[in-house]
Amino acid sequence: MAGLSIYSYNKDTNQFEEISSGNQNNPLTSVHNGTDGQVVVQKLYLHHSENNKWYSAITLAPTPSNLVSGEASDLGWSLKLLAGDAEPATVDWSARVAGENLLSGGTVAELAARAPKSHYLVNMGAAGAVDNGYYPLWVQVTVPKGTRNQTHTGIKLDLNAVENNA
Amino acid sequence: MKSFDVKIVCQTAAFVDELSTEDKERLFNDPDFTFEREDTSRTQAQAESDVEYLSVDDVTPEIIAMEYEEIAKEANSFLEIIRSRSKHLVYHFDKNERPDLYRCVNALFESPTPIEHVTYDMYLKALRYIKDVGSEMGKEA
Repeated sequence: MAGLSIYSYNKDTNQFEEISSGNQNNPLTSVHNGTDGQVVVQKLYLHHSENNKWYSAITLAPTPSNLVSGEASDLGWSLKLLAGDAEPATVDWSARVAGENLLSGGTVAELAARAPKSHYLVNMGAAGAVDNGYYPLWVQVTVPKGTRNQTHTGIKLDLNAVENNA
Repeated sequence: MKSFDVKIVCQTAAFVDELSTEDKERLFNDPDFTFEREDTSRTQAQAESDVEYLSVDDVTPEIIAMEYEEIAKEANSFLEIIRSRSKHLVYHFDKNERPDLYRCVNALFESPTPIEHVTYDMYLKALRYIKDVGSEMGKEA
């Protein structure tokens, strides 16, 4: 799955920028007010530029997986993932368990039968059909009230997929 | 599998003087809070010679004349100035445009020449001084 990657969108430069993988050159950065506690939601994209590949069985997992679930006024930090074009509503985030993976949703037809769809990632392309689109996914990070100054770089987003020849 | 980097930065709005020594050191050593020196016209020696930490015994008449709340208000002004220029170490001000800040800074810090700038270091020292002396003045007021 060499080509498939995660991107953020830089509004200043109008460019998609690839999130770094291992060297912290361009991490997904989430900045929070620890005094009051803060929830931050960011939009990312799955994308590849291969002209002869398509990708199936796509999953995305935050690690470590034991991030404590909780709202800003509750205990612990949390990281939640949801997929889809529309930004998730508060009720969607509340229903989502922190640290859970985005699962493989299969083909477009198979995804249509899933519920909720926002927990799944659809295949990118199919045999004979390359798809170089940008597929949105959403990351919500919560830091609770009373958290002291600190920076965490130990959390990763693990992307898995099967790379197929188109 | 590809592992993508995530960086979560937690900042506090708490005043620096409420942090423990360990937290202050972590704040100052954290690359996300690095302050870059903006004023290249002044040498390190010149900047350091402008700032002297006043002891309780060196309280100037200007300090005595100021209400504790007024000093605290000026300290808050320092904080807002530094925050708004979080990457800049030196804030220059015009004594005619900011006579209040000019009076406070020069009352707090002894200098052979009038001081018309505020550094983050000065702000911290002012906070420490206010905490040491100002609270006592506030009780007496």
